[in-house]
Amino acid sequence: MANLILDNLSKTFAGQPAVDRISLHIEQGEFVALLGPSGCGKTTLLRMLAGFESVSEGSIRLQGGILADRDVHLPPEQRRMGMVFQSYALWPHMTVQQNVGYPLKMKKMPESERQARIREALEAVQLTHLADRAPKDLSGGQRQRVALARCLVTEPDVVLLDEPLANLDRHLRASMEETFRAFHRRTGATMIYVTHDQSEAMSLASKIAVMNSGRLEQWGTPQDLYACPRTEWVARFIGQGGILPLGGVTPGTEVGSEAVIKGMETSFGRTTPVLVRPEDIRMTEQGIGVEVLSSIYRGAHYELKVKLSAGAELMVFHHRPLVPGDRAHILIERGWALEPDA
Amino acid sequence: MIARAIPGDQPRWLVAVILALIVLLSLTPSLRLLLEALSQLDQGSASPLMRVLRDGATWQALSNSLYTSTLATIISLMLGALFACSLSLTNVSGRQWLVFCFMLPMMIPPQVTALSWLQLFGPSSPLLNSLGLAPALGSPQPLYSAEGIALLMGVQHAPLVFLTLRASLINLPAEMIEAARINGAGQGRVWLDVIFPLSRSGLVAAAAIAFVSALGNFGIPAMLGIPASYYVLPTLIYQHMAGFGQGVLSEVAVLSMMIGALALAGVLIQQRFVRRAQYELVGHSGRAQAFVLDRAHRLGLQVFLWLLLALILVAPLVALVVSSVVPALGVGLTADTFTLNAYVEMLTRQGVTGRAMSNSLVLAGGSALFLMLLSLPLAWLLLRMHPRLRTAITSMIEIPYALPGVVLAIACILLFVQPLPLLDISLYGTLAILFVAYLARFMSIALKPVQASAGQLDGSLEEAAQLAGAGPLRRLLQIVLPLVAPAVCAGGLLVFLTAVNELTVSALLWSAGNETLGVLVFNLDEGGDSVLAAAISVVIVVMVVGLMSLLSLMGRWLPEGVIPWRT
Repeated sequence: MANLILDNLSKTFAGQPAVDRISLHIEQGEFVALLGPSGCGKTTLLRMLAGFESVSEGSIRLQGGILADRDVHLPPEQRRMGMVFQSYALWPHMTVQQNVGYPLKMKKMPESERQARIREALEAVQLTHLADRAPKDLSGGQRQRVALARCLVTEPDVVLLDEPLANLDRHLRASMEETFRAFHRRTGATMIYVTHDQSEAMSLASKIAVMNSGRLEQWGTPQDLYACPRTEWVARFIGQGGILPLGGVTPGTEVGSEAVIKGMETSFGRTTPVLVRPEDIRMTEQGIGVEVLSSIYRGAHYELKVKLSAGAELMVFHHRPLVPGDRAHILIERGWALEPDA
Repeated sequence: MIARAIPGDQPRWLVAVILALIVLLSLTPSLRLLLEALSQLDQGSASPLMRVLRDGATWQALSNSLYTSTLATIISLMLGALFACSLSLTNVSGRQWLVFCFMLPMMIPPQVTALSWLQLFGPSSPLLNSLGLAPALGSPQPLYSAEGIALLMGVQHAPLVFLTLRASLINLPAEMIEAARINGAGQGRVWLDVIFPLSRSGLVAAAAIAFVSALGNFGIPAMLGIPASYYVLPTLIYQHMAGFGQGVLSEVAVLSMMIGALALAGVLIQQRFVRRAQYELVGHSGRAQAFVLDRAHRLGLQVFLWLLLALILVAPLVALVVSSVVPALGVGLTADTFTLNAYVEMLTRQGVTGRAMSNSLVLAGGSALFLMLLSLPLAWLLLRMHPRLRTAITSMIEIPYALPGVVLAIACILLFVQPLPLLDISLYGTLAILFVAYLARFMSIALKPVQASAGQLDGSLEEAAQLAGAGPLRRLLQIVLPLVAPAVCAGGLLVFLTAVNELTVSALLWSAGNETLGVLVFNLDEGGDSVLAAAISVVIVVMVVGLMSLLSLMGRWLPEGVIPWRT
């Protein structure tokens, strides 16, 4: 049974749709990423879930109960949700301990139990030694962990995270990602994570909702999105690769190497965009002739950009560098036919 | 992003009570005034409106008002910005003292300021006579001029600029300046590219508050302008009332409407600018930053600041003290002429001094407390309103402060000259009418710092509390209040220090037994008793300094930033 249900959810600001008819069924304990470029409506969607924005159309339901629709609006404080804000939103006039303990105070939890829960939450994020510090005396990563502890302490049903890693450096991101994973395992809470960074979404989430201008482009596992993107837009947004216009293929199907060659021959009529990932291309002695455009060293391999005679550009991984302008031959082992963008 | 109103987010009763209070205090007096000003329009060219518009004195006073206020605003901005930047962004030492002395001119009543500067210049200056530097008898007093008025108003209102600007400079995250420096901006570029743009809203707000204050200043143009027959709108109104009494209430109402419209226009422009330059500083660390000056530059800056203070503060006060211990104006101070007669007379004069003092303290303290309590929920509600409604309400609150005090006083006379309906109590001729007028007049002063401070809060701080389960009142008290407490207290203090000096409103609303300090000095000086006026002024200055010092001592038990002159 789906736990958190978004049904045809819309939000308009002054007539402009910011979130446009989004429907999602999110299972209990799932780690969901809302992924999209800035301005795609992902943060507005998150704030609607939290209750900071009202709902224009559609509904939000949690465990069968209605949270919000056109007429009902359960205030944020009654939704049993936790949130980690992009700016962390730590109260500067309270210590780390007081910040973390505040939600428990709101629940009128007795002092002794409260202390135990605060300690537990701080241990989980390894901040016990900083309990009496003020937020301004903490580093970015430490502040982030305090925000997380404040979220963890009430054991909410749903945890909302608004670009929580946007203000951190890369090494810290890696370790914070690990913290989030551990946090998810530990609590089993449903987590909704807003990000514009596809690699972050791919590595953390069990399911991703890709959004573009307020609409849901695709909803699936990271593997689905990578291997079988629905539209050209999603294919370009997630992962690397090139797009070939091929004839005689059906959108939403896999395209084998023979079909690719056949498709290229019939590409003068009606064509369908086909995504080709670099790992599905091999350099060969004979095959499709290409011109090398660039060659960049990436550690594990060289990343080549090549141009087909028809003009399409593809990306290929190779074990040695080639000089721009060289001629070469490639074999395309697999492609994925896409729905063209509207 | 501005927090949007969410259904059920604000307690309805709070909204209702506060809105009712604002309408009663801010709108009714102005509406009553408008009604009076636009009365008898059916009489055509004989109506009060047309009579006033035909009068050349009206247009002369209007142009005088604009000229002196603009010049005064420029002076205030230069002085206030210089001190705000020096004291919040650099490492000058002795800040506490510098701030304390710089704040003084604002807390000294305008009529006392005018009196002390008058004692500094001119042929009868006791100070110049003592030093043998006095110009020949009959030579003009240079301060009896438009520029003299502007200079004194500029000095008087500079601390308002200082406070407003410093509040926004302190909130400027150090990283923003450091980021610019790292990116190759020299000190000059940093000012131009970072500090100025980020504090622009503060600067515009400061200019607006200085201009509106200058427009409404009565004490200084009254004491410097009337002897030279140089009238600005407030003194023209006062002169009409003093000359012709309640018979000209309608004409005076027209003049008031004019200046009210002028001030309202200023406020609207200011609010547009502030909105345009609104930056939200999210998630900053809140540490104050400094330009570290080397020793030579630091000493140079310090000497310059102190010299300025000696010029605008110390010299007039010395002149005031000298004037209070000579037998008559024009007499130089020597061992023979020294006398404390004025002080003795002040104490023995039927306790009118003591009564005026306690009246002023009760009125100022009461209105400060009341307005502090009001400003927090008011600022919070305003932030949640539709921007248009917020603009409307802020302008409404601004009206009684932008209006010259004489005008508010006249509005109050019109309102309260009849007993209150239902209650059948008459406020006219009691302290209560002064209290109501003070509340209306100073609400804007109490609100502004709180509104600015609450507006800079990262909205997610409150959202986080809301998710934690805190309702509106709890968030207001536990999250917003501690973070804006310095602003609330600063607002209350500003109200107290302005109210205790109040002359303008009081000049028309006082009655026997209900004198205030401001009225006392003004009446004495107008009656030609300058030496006695100087003696009382010295006592007032001592009281102001004493109160400020007392607050400084209390400062260590108060949160940081509560007391403006503590850094």
